[in-house]
Amino acid sequence: MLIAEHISFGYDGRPVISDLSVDCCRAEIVGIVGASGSGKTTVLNIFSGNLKSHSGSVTVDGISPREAAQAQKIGYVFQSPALFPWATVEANVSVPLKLRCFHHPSSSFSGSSDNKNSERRVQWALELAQIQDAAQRYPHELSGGMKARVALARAIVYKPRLLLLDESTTGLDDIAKENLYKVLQEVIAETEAATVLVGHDLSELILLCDRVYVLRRHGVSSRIVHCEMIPFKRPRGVDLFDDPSFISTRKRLREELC
Amino acid sequence: MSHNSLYRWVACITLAIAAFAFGCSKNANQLQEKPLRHVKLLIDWKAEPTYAGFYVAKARGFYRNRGLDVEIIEGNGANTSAQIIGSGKEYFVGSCSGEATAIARSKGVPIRSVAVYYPNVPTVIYSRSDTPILKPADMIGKRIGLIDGSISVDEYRGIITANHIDRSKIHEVGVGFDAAPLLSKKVDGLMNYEELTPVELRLQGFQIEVMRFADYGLNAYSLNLIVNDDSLRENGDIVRAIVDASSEGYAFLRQDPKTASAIFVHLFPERNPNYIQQSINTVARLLGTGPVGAQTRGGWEETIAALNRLGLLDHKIAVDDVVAKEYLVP
Amino acid sequence: MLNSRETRLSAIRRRPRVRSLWVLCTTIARGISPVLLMLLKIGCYGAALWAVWVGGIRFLHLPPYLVPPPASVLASLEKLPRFYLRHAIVTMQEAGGGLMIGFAGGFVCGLLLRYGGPVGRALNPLILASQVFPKEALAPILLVFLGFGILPKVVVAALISFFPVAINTFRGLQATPVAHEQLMRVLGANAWERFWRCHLPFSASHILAALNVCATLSIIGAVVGEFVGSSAGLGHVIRAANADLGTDRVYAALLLLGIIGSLFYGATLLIEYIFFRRFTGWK
Repeated sequence: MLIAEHISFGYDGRPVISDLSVDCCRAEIVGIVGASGSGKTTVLNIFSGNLKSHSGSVTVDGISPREAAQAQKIGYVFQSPALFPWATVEANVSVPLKLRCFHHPSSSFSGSSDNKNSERRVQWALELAQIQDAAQRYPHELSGGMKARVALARAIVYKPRLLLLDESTTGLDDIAKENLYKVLQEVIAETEAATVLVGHDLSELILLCDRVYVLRRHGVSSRIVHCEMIPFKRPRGVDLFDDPSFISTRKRLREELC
Repeated sequence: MSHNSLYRWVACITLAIAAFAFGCSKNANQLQEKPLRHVKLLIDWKAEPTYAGFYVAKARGFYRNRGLDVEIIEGNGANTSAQIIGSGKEYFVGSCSGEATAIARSKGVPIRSVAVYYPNVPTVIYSRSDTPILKPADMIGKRIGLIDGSISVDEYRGIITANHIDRSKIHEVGVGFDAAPLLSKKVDGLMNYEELTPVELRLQGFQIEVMRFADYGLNAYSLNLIVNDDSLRENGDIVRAIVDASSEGYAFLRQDPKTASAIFVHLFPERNPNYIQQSINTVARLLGTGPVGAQTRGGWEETIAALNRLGLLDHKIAVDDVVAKEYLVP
Repeated sequence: MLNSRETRLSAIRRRPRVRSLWVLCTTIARGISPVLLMLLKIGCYGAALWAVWVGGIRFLHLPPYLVPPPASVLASLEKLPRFYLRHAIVTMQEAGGGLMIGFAGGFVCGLLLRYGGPVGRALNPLILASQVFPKEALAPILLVFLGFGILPKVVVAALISFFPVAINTFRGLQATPVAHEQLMRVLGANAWERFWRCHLPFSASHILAALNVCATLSIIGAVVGEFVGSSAGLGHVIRAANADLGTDRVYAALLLLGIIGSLFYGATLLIEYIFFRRFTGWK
């Protein structure tokens, strides 16, 4: 689904990432862990088509990320939820369905384009993200965890092929995080989207991902230095944090990170 | 047919005939009346007693008698009037001053004077009685307020020159149109038309003295009626009608200032009636003793000469450039 | 523990007819109390203004030809209500027309500045120049081409109003948070959808703030236009009254201008409340 090969990128001649190769298949969850400032968000912006890599190639479902975004094949959950403050939760989640590209033949949406289908689709996304009770509330009335779930619902409502999450649990308390981990696993299992998570919380990435790439600064730019397979069975809960093999995996990744 | 419905039919038919007859008679009346020609007359400042002659002419029907429906529009200065009437777009006739007419003509603005109502400039320097300015020499050592962009400043220069006053000995201060600087003793003398602010101040109980520019060597035509060159050619009959009616209005004012004042007060009830009366009395005096509206070659020659001495004319002009010949009095 | 009087009162209130009457009275009071409160506020402001005015005249020894006593101003208003109303309506028409045209023109200029590329950049110095030179310098041209009617005043009011709207529209459209901008691109929104669903709603606060400011600026513009040349309007009243020391008329016109300004400002707030409050976070 996502194939990135030997991509490099820099800002104003200053290299940020170099020779980065990542792939992710359908229904697979891949994580990229790195220290702050290592370029994780830049990598996601390249995968989403917001930035163009200077070298290498990136394809999403066989086409360029920009074309994939225009065909609504990419879902992105930003670090800050980026909700529209003047719209209710339901209205926020339905924004992607009101765009012209949603009704384009090349988009993921295979149904008819009448309002009833859109309403059902929004309801489905809200229920999957477990935020249906707050459908008529406004963003300023929601907690941090609820906002994160609304952003997730909005990202999946149009059933993207690739889902990108950029440190979506930042600022949440432990209970909210635990809730979000559960919801995330259910959403990805249901949608079967290829998912790329970036963050700096090792425990979170090991809990959620099938594979974890380690992004570390190498000289002036960052590159992938290690890829770890995570064999734990799903669904995974926070009780896994005390598992000895979890702890050793975490220790290994931590050594690679430093 | 029952009686009730018969009466109803008769009533309806009677009403219909009456309405038809009324309509016909109205139309007949309208056909008999010749439609009035609508003209916009632009006066060069706000509605002050200076222009009362025009308002009196309208109220007394002098324009209507000559087939005109005149609308009087307030302007924004004689120079602006000259420019607007020169362009001839919406306004082709209006009041101005002799000085502004000659200056505009020297700049190529296509206007001509068709009547003069003030044969002399009405500008005065007015001062408080405790520090009176009665002659030009009294200005030495005193503070005189000058209004930026006003022709009164050039007239003041003319007085200085004509009376050989050393201008460097006068303290000149930039002021606006209001009298506050004089009353608060920030200046000792201000300039205005004799029929305007000085009259108002006296009515309010202030002791005011005036020095008339016309008495001290400034001889120039002031309030006049100008017309656009093209309109003079194409609408000569309308111009003649306006000149005659306006002159009749001013003549009426000179003859019966009390009635003229009452007309003006009726039109502008927000103004002080005493001020209007006093001011119109002054206007009547400023109209002079000769025929109202008359302009002579000699008068224009003096006006042009005065402006030449002040260096206000861009190019040399002659009387025939400024005046419509047919409106000159021999 | 309730005393006997309170017990008797609550017993009376519980009777059916008395209870209905009580409910009716409290409902009416709740409904009109905001209005009464507003009237009370206006009354307090009016009383404070009167006190400052009279006190200023007395303690600063201000002569009547500079500052008339408030009683004479009110007397002038009472004596000539139709006169002032006629001129106030003219000024309101000029200001209203200028505000609408200035707002529309400013909004379009703001769009051009934001999205116009080289055309927008070329427009920038022209917009700045239009604000720098005094409108009175335009007077002869406006009078020659547009006459002394309502149109030149509308033009001056529009010229004064359009600049804040143009700049605020431009800055507002730039104020979209980066995350939302990226979100719309990822969602596959085209340029129009990004503008309509994202840039414009985020710029609402900026644009409506400019509208609030222009509500009063447009009145200043109309009055400036009337100073330049007019036969009607409150600016004309002030100019004409100045000529014959009619300071009561000047201050009456100023008072009316203040009221008109407040009405215009209130109207813009009302428009914001009715149509745009969810975009501006109305409080």
